Amino acid sequence: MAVRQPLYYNSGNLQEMTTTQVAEIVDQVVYQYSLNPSVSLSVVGSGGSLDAITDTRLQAGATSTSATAFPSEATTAEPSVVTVTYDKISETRASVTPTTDTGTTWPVYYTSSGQIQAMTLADVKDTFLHPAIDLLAAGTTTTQQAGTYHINTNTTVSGSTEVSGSNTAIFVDTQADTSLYTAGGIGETLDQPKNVTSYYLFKVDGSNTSFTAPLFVEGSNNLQTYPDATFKSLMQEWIRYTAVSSTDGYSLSYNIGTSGSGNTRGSGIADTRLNGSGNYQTRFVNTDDYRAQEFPNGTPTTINTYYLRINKS
Amino acid sequence: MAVRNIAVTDTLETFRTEFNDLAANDFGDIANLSASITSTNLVDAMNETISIATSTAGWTIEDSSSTQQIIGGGDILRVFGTSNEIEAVVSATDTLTIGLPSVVSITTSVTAPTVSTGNLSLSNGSITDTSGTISFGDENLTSTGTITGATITGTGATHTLGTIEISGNVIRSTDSTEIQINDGLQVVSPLRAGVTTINPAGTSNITSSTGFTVFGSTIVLEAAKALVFEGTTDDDFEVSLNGGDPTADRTITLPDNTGTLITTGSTDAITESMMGPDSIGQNELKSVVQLQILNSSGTPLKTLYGAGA
Repeated sequence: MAVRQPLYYNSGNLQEMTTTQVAEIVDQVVYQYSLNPSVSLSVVGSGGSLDAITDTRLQAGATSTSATAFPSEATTAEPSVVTVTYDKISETRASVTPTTDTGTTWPVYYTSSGQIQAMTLADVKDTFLHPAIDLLAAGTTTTQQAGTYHINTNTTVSGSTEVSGSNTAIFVDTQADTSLYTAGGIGETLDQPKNVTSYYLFKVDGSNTSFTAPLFVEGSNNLQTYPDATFKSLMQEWIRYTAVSSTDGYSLSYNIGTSGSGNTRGSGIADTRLNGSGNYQTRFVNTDDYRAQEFPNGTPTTINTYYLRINKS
Repeated sequence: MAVRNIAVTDTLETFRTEFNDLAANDFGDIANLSASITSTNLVDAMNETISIATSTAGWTIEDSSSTQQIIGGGDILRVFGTSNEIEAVVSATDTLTIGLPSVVSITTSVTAPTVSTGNLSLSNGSITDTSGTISFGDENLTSTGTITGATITGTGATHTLGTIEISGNVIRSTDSTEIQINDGLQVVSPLRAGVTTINPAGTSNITSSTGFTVFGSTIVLEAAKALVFEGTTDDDFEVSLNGGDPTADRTITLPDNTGTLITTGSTDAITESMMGPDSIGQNELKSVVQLQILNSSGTPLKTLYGAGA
């Protein structure tokens, strides 16, 4: 672990950055990532690369009829479970080829022996890239997680952008709409659901925070403050590469499910369902037509809660 | 009677006639000679005659050259002076006074131990005048010897001693463009040479009307002498420039620019522009510290040196 304090030009002096200034650079690295995430999620119609999740609900049992008397409850079909699969989130991993370290690519720092030395890639990882990945992979959804994704039940979330662009839910929790089932309507359509909660995929917006550009060794072996665009580009390349290709535990990935690795992102996706054993109802149509049907009933119960998780590995 | 002369080419006849005439007309006839004269030839007769004359009534006078003149009885001895040289005065009784006239002219020389005229006396090697002054009028005085005087005063416009001419307050050589003085020369008033003035006194011993004095050769200050600058203000404080104590010939060259010299006593005097490129090494830095710029592998890319705290 070699977290460095890069040097910067301060009114004619060379000065070590404070931890606050280093953190500002890390925030800028996060922002750079948000401008072009290398691990991105999209909303697709089906067949998303992330695991599918299912919504379940009850539907009425089949109608029983008799010409002589009402079918008994025992002989009337019980409500059944309707399952709808959602497989609408797909992860895309970019291919990134970052700038190779020439020995003077990275910012300089003041060594313990009193020299000025260019940081190694390992130093850069420890100082900037990995802390940025740590922020990106956090469970919160502030600007420090810009460019990463979360789930919300609203169609708009401040500080985030709905990914599909058309308010396409990645999951809709449904339940049987008991109000639609009536005895007089026996022979009711079995599956009469209602949408309880819709879930949307959001990407956290970035915030271009200010930072102090560090010094680096330029081509003539002099010290120079990074041009703003140069440093940002360099950082973006490497955070994108790290997020998608890190071999030392800092690549990002998403998963969805009731369990999984990583920090959960946003709202849990609840699959709720009525928990009743059936609301037995009869209907006398005429002396030759006696009907019975069990409608969904009960209280909503969460069957499963799915989470979108961001994982670094 | 005339001189008779017989040329070698004359004839014997000529000789005969001339001789006869000589005897008859020039010598005379001896028969006519006085009987008191016993001499038989002309010369002896003449001598016998003079002897008779002087021994009776006359005398003979002779000058310093032994020239004699017989003064016979009845003869008059006339004595004349020479104008402006000597005069003779005859007075009673039988007195002849020889003297000098009031105005005497001497053709050749006068020799006397002392010659005095008026207040002026000339004696051996000396001309004096009791008035204390001898005037030569407007005459030129020439001497091939030495003129010595307690005080020699020339009143004319130009005086020349040898080839040295003194005209008013100007001294020059008449045969050279340079006057050489073989002894020391001391002046009590400023000595001016062209634009340059050497002042025996005062604060500016050497000045030039041009505003600057140019030395055409190297200026050398002898041991322990300094070049002193009064500075802006003429006061008790000066700046001295001395040569230290060199152990070999040294040369200090002033730079070709305008500025102020600095010394070891100067503080905060050296400015950035005075430093030449690549002119300060690490050894000149105080408490030097080293700062290397390393690449990410730790290889030095550049080494910086600076003064330490």
